[in-house]
Amino acid sequence: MATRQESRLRKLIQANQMLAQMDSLPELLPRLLELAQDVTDAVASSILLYDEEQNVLRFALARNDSPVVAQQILEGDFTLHMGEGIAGCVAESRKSILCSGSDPRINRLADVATGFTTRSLLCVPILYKNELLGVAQVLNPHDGGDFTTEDLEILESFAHLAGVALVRSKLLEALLEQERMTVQLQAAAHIHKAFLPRLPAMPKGWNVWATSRPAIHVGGDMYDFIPLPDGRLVTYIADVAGKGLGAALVGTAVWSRIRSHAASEMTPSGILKILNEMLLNDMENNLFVTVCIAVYDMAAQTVTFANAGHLRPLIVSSGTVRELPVSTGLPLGIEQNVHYDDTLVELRPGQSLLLLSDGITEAYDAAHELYGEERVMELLQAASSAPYGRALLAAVDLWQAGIASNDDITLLEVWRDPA
Amino acid sequence: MAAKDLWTASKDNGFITLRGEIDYSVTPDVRSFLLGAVRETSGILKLDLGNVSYLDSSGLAVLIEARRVLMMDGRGLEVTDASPQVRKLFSLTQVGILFGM
Repeated sequence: MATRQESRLRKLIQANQMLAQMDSLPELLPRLLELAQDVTDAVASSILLYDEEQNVLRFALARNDSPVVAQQILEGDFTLHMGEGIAGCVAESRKSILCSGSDPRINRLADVATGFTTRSLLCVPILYKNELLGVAQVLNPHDGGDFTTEDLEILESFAHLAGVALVRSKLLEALLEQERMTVQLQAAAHIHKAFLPRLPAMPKGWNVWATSRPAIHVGGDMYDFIPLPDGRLVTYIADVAGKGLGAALVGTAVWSRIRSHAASEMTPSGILKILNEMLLNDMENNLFVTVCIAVYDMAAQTVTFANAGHLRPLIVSSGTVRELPVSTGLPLGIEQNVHYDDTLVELRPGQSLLLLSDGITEAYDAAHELYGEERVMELLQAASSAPYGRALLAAVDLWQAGIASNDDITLLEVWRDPA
Repeated sequence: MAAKDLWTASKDNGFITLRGEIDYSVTPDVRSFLLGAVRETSGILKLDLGNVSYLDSSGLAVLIEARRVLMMDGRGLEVTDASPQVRKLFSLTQVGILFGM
């Protein structure tokens, strides 16, 4: 008897060492079963994990080494309520049970399914700091007899180790997930930075300024300047509804598609139509994109707009600011066959045209108040000279002082020198 | 508003009421709730957004997704009421039309 106990304790120590090295949950469960059988010298074992939300035990993994059972490692998918079967009783009372095969509480389903006969059963709760994590069961000692109280004590000690290992693996999973998120966000930020366009050279009397500041949870604000061979300039702001890598990738798809169509004869509304189809047909995401395209014809002194659900452009000249009532359709990626119209507007000397993203109007201050459209209008009215967007950005920075941005801030301005 | 207005939801057969601030920090939960409501109901889903103090684009994306799921099933989504901020967002982005507003 003494040597058997020594052997159990030795196995327990080995189990502890092995478990200390295990990192991932999928590897951990089979190993726990192997070790549970090892320390109790049992023929079969199973582990059920506790679902706190639903207050049930879920069957995680089972193992049976007897020749009767065809499959060595069994995987099932059933739940046990508290008090149901031996496992349910142990989970409910948090007290171990050592019993024989004739105990009425035993749930017979598994035996019937596998042809295995439970002769002796040992079930212990897996706890960690008073929290129930699950239960572990072992069945039928190899030597043909019944489990003893020493076996029970050993399995209880083992359950303690299992609890620690389970908690550790959950913590590691959480850390890994966090790491994955951070890597994703960093990658998205790199993509975003790589696509920041250079300000184009402008003809005399015409000027351009732009800025895009990503929020911590980087979204999908994109903007671009595409000078055309005939002297016109295509500009736009796009805002992908969503955050992270998925949104950044959709943003780059939009960027690339606009670039490839900008130089063709296509009108701004035609470009929006093509983008809409691309998002609906080619992308799996449930993301939509708002875009405002502004094509400047400096020679004709006009700008042509097409707008998909984005904030209307603002026209500013010293002391006055007005929202341009450009024709606006649905954001891209929602419905098939959306119709977009082109709106032509004159840009006179001294006037400035500003495209902005809703990161400006929806910027929060410390008191959780939004900056809002009214303040934007007031600020632009009071600002002294172009680029007015710069003054607006400074004002929003002040507004947000100390608060992390909840959304990307993008501004794009084209203005003419006064006559 | 001085502090964040936590979101809540209630469900009464096909009538859903959402309240509070719905921004990117809570949209995954709102999404689970709405898609669950879609599964558990039949016919047109009615949504009251009269007490939603704030809805951002990720929240809007959740509504659009719910609508898409419903439409694919031959059903629909109707917004029965919306707060001023939500109305503004719907009007700005033109999506009000999709929700019967």
